[in-house]
Amino acid sequence: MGWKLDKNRPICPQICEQISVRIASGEFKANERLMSVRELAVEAGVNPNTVQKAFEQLEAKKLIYSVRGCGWFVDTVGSAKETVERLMFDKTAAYVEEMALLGLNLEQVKKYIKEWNE
Amino acid sequence: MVRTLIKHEVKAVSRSMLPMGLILMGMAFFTRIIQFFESDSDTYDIVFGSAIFMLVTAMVVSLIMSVVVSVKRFYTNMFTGEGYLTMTLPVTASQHILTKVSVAVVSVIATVIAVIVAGSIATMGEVLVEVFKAIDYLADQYFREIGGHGVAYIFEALISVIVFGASQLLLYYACISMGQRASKNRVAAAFGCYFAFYVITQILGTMLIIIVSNGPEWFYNLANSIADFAVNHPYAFVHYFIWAITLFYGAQAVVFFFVSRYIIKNKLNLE
Amino acid sequence: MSELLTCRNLTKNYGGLVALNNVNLEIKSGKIIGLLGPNGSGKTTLIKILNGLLTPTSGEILINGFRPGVESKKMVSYLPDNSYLNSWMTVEQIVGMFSDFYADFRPELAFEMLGRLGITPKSKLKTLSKGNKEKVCLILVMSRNALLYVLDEPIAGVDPATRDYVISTIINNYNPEASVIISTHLIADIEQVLDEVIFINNGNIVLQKTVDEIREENGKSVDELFREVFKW
Repeated sequence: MGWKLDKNRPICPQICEQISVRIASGEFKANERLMSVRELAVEAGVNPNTVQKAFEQLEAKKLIYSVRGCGWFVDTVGSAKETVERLMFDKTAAYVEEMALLGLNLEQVKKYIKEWNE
Repeated sequence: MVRTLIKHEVKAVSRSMLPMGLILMGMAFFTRIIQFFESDSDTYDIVFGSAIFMLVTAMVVSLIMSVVVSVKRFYTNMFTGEGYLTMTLPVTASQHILTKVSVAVVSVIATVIAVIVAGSIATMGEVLVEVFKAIDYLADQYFREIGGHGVAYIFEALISVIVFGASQLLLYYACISMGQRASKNRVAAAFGCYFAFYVITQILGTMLIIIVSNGPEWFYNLANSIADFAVNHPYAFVHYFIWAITLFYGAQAVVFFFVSRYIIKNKLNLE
Repeated sequence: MSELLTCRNLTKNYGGLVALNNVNLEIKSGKIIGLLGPNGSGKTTLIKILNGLLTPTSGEILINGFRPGVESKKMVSYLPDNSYLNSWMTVEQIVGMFSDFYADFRPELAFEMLGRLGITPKSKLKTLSKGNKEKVCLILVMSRNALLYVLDEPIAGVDPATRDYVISTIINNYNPEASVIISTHLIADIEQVLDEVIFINNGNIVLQKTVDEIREENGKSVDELFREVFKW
């Protein structure tokens, strides 16, 4: 799986989001060692400082922890699932609110999503 | 760092000069070998004649090349695309110039020696023995007459020649450095600088002659006392004379060195 | 964090032409900085002054406190925008030359990277393809453990695969305490790896910001902002 990044938004939160998703989906397992900052930077083609910042933010949420000299590991204290669910909820809410500005109610939004899906 | 610089400079110069040396030696051996087949035939005359001609040509070409290679190297290595690397090495301008001029002088000396060796190879045998005999005789005469001074003169003259050579190289370097201040046609600008220098020295020389021929009093006195000294102390006078020449060119060399150094240090203008 | 690079009222005139106009700039260590501007905007002039290949008309530039000279050259690893290596030399000879002159050069690293590309040490530079030649130059520059890397148009005219190689080589090898200045007019290709951008136009610094500031404040990519600023 590659890293899909939107250049119009700051990169750091996007890295956080995608790592959270990978932890939640089980792609990154509990207590498993993550890629190093530099490796991830190379793979995603982003600045190592950005990755460092993202790791620190994830650490604050207790989704990952660092071991001095060894690198970063997936934490079990924080819930990635919760984080991702929160994220999904926020994004959906933002979308629905935007649609509401166009005058659509929830039913109509559902209809459009269905149409788009077909 | 200077040693590293010299190492790489020697590599670069010998890359151009070594093949020339090999050609020179090859031709010398060829000239010598065909002499074993000496006969009265026209074919031999033609082959021998052209061998000699080619050898002499190779000698002249390698001598010219030793100077041209060094001067050209100064230009390309400092002021063209290569200059991007040369000028970003952690080395001072003085170190660059001194390395280039000393390697160039050694290269020219080595070429002169190679030419002498090639000549010796080509004439190996009776001819060479005769040449050595003649040199021996002349040296004998020379030393008998002036003794210990003779050895000193030879050394002093060699130093003088080397200083002269270095000053000429540094003159070319200074001209090239000044030439690169131009926004285009930098090689032409370098030749222009050399020409300007030539004209200026001619003018200065002429002025000097005019001054001398209209001789102010003090100049006559000076000339007279020098002449007196030359008559009374002929051996010492020759020493002083050679050293005066060395000093004259040495001073020029120093001036040219600082011109190049100033430009490389403060006025570099790489395209 | 300390100032790695400082420009004070830096001006460079070519005859009547102003290439740099009173540039004031500060760059900290530990950053990847994009020096962005259209062709002829003054990027290369600034870089050449920084490397001591040009002398400023007025003002000064300091690299870790030193003016361009022997000390600064020990700390700056520079990739020019044109070919500058002797094409008759072999890769091995060039690596040897860099090791001889730069105390911070890591030959094992250089050979390792060259080996991964399948470039043998004995191959002459002129026998290499254009792409490989560019890669060799980049490897040499990134094999130094420098304080400041200055890469002039490292991705101009290269194919996408080479571009990715260039970017990953930079990220993989620069020292985290060092800064990297990448000059380019192709922003979209490189903006994700940048911490900070400096927009330069007609010899003037138009803007110096972190990329996140740009994305947050304007809600657009650096590339989009660049196109707006320079009205392409």
